[in-house]
Amino acid sequence: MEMVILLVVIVAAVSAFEIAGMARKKQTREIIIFIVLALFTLAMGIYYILAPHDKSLIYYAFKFLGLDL
Amino acid sequence: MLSDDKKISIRQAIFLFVTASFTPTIRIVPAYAAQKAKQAAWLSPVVTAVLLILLVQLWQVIYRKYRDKSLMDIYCDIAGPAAGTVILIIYLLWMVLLSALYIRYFAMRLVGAIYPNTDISVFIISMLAVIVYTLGFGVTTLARFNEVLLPFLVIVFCLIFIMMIPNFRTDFLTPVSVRSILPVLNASMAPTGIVAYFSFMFIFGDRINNKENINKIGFKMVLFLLITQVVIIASIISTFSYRIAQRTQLPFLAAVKQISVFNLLEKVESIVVSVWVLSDFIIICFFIICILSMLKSFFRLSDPKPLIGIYVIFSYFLAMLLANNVFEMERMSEDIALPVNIILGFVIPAIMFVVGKIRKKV
Repeated sequence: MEMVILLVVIVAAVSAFEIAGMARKKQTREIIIFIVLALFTLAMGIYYILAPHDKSLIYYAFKFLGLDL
Repeated sequence: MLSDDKKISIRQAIFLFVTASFTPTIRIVPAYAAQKAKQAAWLSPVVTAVLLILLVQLWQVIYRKYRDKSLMDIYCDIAGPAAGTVILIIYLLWMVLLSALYIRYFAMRLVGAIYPNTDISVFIISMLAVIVYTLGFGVTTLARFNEVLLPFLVIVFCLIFIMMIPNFRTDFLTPVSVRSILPVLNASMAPTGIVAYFSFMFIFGDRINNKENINKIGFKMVLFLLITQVVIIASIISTFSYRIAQRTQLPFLAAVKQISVFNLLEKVESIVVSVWVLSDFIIICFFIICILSMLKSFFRLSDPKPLIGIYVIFSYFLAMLLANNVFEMERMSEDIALPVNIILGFVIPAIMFVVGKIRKKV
């Protein structure tokens, strides 16, 4: 649980720093892309922290393509 | 030739590509080629060189018309906005995957080669911190750093090759006959899949100057890559024979570990690992620059620099989720990455060229 909190804090800190700069320059599109990326990062980070030994993306890619791993 | 503050010259761009191609070349090419073409594996870069010359010519012709355009603009103009966007989304997703793959390979190699039982996160986080700092200065700074790095890399590589010579057995490189042609063609998949990154360089083509010299500098690059790839494969096979080379995980590193100059100079593999890390740094930066350029083009961003930090954190988790062990990554590289690289780096540009000719746009 500490790792999830650490992740949220890091993403929030990076977001606060960058979004403030982008807001000053009125870069709305950049802010939207940034938020989408930050949400993806949080989702993937939380998934990885909670299930670090789960099956890998390569495993799923091979399964999807019908290849043996 | 130095460029202005925001652009790099074609020579600098090609230097970036050459340094970036060093790390996958020594990781995947020797073992793959030895597996497919046995003792004739060292001839496989010849096929790649021929294909790369054609690719260089193709981009030269395309850039006669699209002087200051990026790959995204060119594809959208030739194929139309809808088809062009679909193709470019595939490119973007592939770049994201490749950047994560190279981040993971970098850390796995350090752990496998010299730091066993160390958490790979230590290496990944250190590397990504340096990348965030460097990319903040832009592609010009990276290109200028690489201009210093590449000669150093070549000198180290030449010295190591010279020190490897006493271990060579040239009989391991023969016999080569007409029956080797098909296996050599098959083996050329690995070097061809790597030099396909040449096309990816034009993702930031709008920031590359004097593209009228693609042909001239490109030909020298093909010659250089041909020699280095042949030397890498031949040095490994003539040290171990193809039977051992095809089964060894990092054959180049294993060959370097055999070096002993008068029993005085030994354990030079640490030099190779450090050079390898520098090449990893360039290739990861190269792909992140490509991704940011594509995001900038897709969403018409004025400046993608604020995205670097969050993208790097994203790619850390993607790298961690990508694979559970090195065997999965090797299978991914051999069975998926090489064919997809060839499709995106050779086949699609060729299709675009033909479509462009038909539609009289090239």
